[in-house]
Amino acid sequence: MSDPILSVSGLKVSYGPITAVAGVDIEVGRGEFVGVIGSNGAGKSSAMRAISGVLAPAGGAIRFDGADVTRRKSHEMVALGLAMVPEGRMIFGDQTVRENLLLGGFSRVMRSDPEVEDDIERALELFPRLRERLGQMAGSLSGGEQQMLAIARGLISRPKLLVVDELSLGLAPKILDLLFPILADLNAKGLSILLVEQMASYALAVTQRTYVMENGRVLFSGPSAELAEDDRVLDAYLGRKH
Amino acid sequence: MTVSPRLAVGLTLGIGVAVLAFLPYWSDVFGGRFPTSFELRIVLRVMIMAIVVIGLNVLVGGAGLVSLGHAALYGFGAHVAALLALRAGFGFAPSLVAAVLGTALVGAALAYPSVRVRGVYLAVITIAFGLVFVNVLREWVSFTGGASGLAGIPRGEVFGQRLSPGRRDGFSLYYVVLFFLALAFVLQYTLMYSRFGRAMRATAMSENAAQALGVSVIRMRTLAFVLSASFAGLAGALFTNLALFVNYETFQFTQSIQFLLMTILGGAGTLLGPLVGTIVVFFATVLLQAFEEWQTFAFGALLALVLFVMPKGIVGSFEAWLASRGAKQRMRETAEWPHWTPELNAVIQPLENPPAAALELRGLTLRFGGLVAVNKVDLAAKPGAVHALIGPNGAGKSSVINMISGFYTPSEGSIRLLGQDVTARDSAAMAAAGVARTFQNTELFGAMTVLENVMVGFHTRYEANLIQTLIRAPRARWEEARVRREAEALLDFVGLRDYADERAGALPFGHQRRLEIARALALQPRLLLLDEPAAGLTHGEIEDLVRLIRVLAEKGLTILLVEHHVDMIMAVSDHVTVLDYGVVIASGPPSEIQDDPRVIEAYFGHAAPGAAARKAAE
Repeated sequence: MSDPILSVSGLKVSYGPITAVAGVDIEVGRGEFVGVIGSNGAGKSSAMRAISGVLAPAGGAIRFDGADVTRRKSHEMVALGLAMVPEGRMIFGDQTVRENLLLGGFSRVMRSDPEVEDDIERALELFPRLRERLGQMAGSLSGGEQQMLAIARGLISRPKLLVVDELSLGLAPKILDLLFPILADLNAKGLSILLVEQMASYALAVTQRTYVMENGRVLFSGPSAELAEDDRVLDAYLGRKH
Repeated sequence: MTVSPRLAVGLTLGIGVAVLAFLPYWSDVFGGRFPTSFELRIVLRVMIMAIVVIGLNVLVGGAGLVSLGHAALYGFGAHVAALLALRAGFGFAPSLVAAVLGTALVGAALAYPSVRVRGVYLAVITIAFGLVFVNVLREWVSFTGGASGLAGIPRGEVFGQRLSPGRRDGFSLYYVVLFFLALAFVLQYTLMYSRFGRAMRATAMSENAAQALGVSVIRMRTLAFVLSASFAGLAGALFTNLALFVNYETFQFTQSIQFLLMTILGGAGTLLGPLVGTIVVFFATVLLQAFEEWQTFAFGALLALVLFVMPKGIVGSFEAWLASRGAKQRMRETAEWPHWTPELNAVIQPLENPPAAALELRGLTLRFGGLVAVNKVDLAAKPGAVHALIGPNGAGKSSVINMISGFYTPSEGSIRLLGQDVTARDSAAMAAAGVARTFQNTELFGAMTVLENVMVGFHTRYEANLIQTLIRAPRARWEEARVRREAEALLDFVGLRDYADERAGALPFGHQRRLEIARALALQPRLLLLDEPAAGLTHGEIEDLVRLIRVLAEKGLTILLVEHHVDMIMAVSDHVTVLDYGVVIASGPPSEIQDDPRVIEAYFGHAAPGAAARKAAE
């Protein structure tokens, strides 16, 4: 890839004496939709936390939008154009839906950027159910609505790359059938997306390329359509009967 | 590198007692004037304060509660001992015992009503108590002597030996105080590293999970406060015997703050923290007198600086530094699971005479104000059956789980467990009746290790009582070793043995779910409620989870499962109940449910291919 939006090389993450990520290379091209799948403990979430600046990596380099961002903090990464939809959603339950959305554009609201309102409007067009609940406390939303809010909040910062950790967590199939196409749609409009997902069948269906991680390393990677037929993937992540 | 707490306690005790025991005779060996009788009295004061701070550490570092009234409890013990010695002619031992018991009672009266609510509530109550106490001492002149206090308290005796800090009496009081300090230090260790210490820390980290494991949050916090108050009462009685004079000035609010500072500066929750904190704060106060009018300023600045550099307190931060140093980097290994070992036969035992229904819900209803979250739900699960509860987000599944586990009280209807009516019992009582659960958003004791999390699950199954536990009676030791073995077997069962000593909060999300299952099984439940156990698991892991659930069902455990993964529900359940808007819309074996058009519409939002084809054929 000539000029990727994100390029991670040799990334290492450790928690005290525990190595969670032991040298990982991941690349996301501009406008690309990339997935990361793998078992629990494979190091996917740890890698995402390092990429989004929540954790300081123990080694390796991260380049984002042409610049070295290896040890940048998460608020700097947001300002540079990387938005994270974290695992477990992490919405602010005791604030209204609207306040949650405004917090997504926090740095721009502080500068009184008038376009924030337009962006909120665009996010609400994407998720009409949120519009009905604008004044409601976010904690009272259903799980699916909270996930919509988390994505909408991520979009308000006008990211160049959206990192989504575990979209499907605790959501009924009906909601997933709604959410995954929205991500695909956003990607079609030009947004680069990096998706970490346990439900490999969904991830492989919407992404263009997928990395498979195990034990802190990338085992293999390739076009999602090919991996969906790959025996190694079928066995571990899609179920043997497919 | 890490030092085992047992070794740390042994070393500190050995070296500390030896040095302190030798101290009065320092000048006899090394010459000079140290220690003068004045200096020895200062050492005595510090030792007595350290006993209060050790007690406070149990409360702050153990149960996660804050007291700003410990000086008053200390004063209460001191006054009980003084009044009994002066007015009732009590000797040293009886007045000391009375001071400890009396202060414990006051502690119980303060704590029991105020620990229901977490946060600052207890702290405020203790402030109020401290203010009232000092005011009574000052104004009730006929009883307490007011500002002139109680003077002329007779010296106590132990085994015919007069108690005084003087050389003529062989420094007898000094050695008595040293004995009690050593005792307090050892009790702190045996408490903190026992099932009670674990249960206390558990209540500080997740009230919900503690209750779900049968650990009553109110009882555990009250216990922590009562024990903490007892230490203060003991120290108070020793102070009376040292000073032979008591009045309110020693026990004011500022002293309570100082005790709390000593606890936190030393490192709350560590064993050595109280000793280090007491010494540092006491001598800092003395040395900073050189700053004269700027003394308080200097003290405050020093305090802020130390805590800024060492946020976990002196000992806590030192331990963290020691642990991070030279630790070898390693990968963790997730083992194959479920892994059945013979030890588990003792943990998961089939029921002898199972009744026809393990769980029976009749007309179960839950209303939040005008909203009906659960509406007249009937459900029956046979022993050893896997019963799935499915439905869209917001259908009321979690509300049903919360009622069965005692977190919500049903508005109407009944819950029967193994033929017994258990409607509207609280969560700890439901745990005692045999209901264990996991949580949708996982509620682990994050700062405790993975193994400790499982061991908290065994809390209600210990037989050794508090006294046996504190003195480490053979029975208590044997039981602790057995629980550790069984907890390890449960970790083996879910493939997390290699993670045993890690902080539970640092586990990957899917592993946290497995740990919750292992912890729930430690209760030896009859009914296991699993709230979305497969969320965050890969397909392969879900297959493992299905095998684990089947193994448990074969052992006679009844399982109620809330889940979204349709493949998993079909593979694992014997019976499926479907909820939508709080109402049961279908119930039957999975093969029937799968094709039910109402279910497909509510759950999938579109007709499944199979159903559509069948409709076309009709």
